[in-house]
Amino acid sequence: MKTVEGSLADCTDDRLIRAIVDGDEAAFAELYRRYKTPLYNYLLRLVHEREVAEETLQDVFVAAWEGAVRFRGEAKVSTWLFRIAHHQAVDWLRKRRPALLEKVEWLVAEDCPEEEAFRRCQVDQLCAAIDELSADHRAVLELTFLRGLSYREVALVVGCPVGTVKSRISYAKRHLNGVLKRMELD
Amino acid sequence: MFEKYRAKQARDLLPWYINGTLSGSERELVERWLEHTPEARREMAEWQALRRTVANQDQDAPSPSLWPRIRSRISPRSPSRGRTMPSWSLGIALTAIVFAMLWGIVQPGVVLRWSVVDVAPSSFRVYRAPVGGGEFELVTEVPARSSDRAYKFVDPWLWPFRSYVYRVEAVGRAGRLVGSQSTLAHPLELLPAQAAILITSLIVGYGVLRLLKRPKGFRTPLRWA
Repeated sequence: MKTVEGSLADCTDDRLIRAIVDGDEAAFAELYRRYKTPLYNYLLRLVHEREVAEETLQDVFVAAWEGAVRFRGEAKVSTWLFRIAHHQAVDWLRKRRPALLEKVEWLVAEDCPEEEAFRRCQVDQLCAAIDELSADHRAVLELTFLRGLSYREVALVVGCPVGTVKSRISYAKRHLNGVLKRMELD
Repeated sequence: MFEKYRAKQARDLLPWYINGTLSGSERELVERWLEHTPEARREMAEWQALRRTVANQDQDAPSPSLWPRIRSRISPRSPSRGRTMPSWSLGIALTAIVFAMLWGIVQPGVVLRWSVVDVAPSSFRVYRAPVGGGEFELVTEVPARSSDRAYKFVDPWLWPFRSYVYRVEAVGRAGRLVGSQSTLAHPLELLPAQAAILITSLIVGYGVLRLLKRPKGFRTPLRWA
């Protein structure tokens, strides 16, 4: 006979959701185990504060528990969870830090005198530049390259048309290219 | 030369070509563009560099104390909520069952009583007609028993806001009429009893529903074993 844990770990996300609808706490714990890290990092990149990211992650899973009954399987479970997370984060940004939503600023590259550390410095600066993108642009980049979502799924998560998703990611790239060029000049 | 419009389409799809989520035709479009345009290959390299940067960002984990906090916030629910019979339909079914049982026991209808003297009919036919017009219709036929002198019939299914005339006919062995009696009935008088049965049924149905909806705590996931 398989163990409970072993069986749960083998379950598809959809099956976990069906079990959660039945009030199964173990299935809910398994869903949390699978998605806590990607969702937490996604939230952290959007809100930039660990405490807020954790609070928001709590809200995401409470909303998932309560909303599981309404999950119809039209999108993947991961897309559904990221969508909840995105909306929770954007709500928080709207309420607490409205400026961040519109902010697209770039860090000025710090001098990095040691040659061997130059490349690492470049990567760090690019990461910092990504962090400084607006939440909307950063979300599209993260969902595409870190979470591997299709452009239709990204559109579902962030709640905008597919055309907007494509223009946001192009915009993000143009600005990051600009950062790279500036770093080369420095 | 690659068409300008198709080149734009392919350029827009490059990030998702890299993450491998394009459909077959979209992938072909991007691949043809990459094949024919040197600029496309340069863009591809830029996107790949960006992807590496995004993917190489540090990944943190939430604190272990988060799960107990989430668990304390979720409210337990009954198993199979939303996928089995909804609670409101269960309530209606319960109410209907209780109503039918009480109605059958109390029988809040017009009661007709009659007795037989000096004749020996084989059966009694009960007819009913609304007051103020309408044909008599046969409601029931009650067989006569040699041991019984008194008979009773209850007619519970009546519209309370209308009066009725009842006629009971005693029928002999050859189908010959041996006697007849008529009477007037006002079902409105029965309304309090009928309403009491309905209200009692609703209270019982609602009470059972409340008992069923009481939180029961989390189920252990035995079915996974």
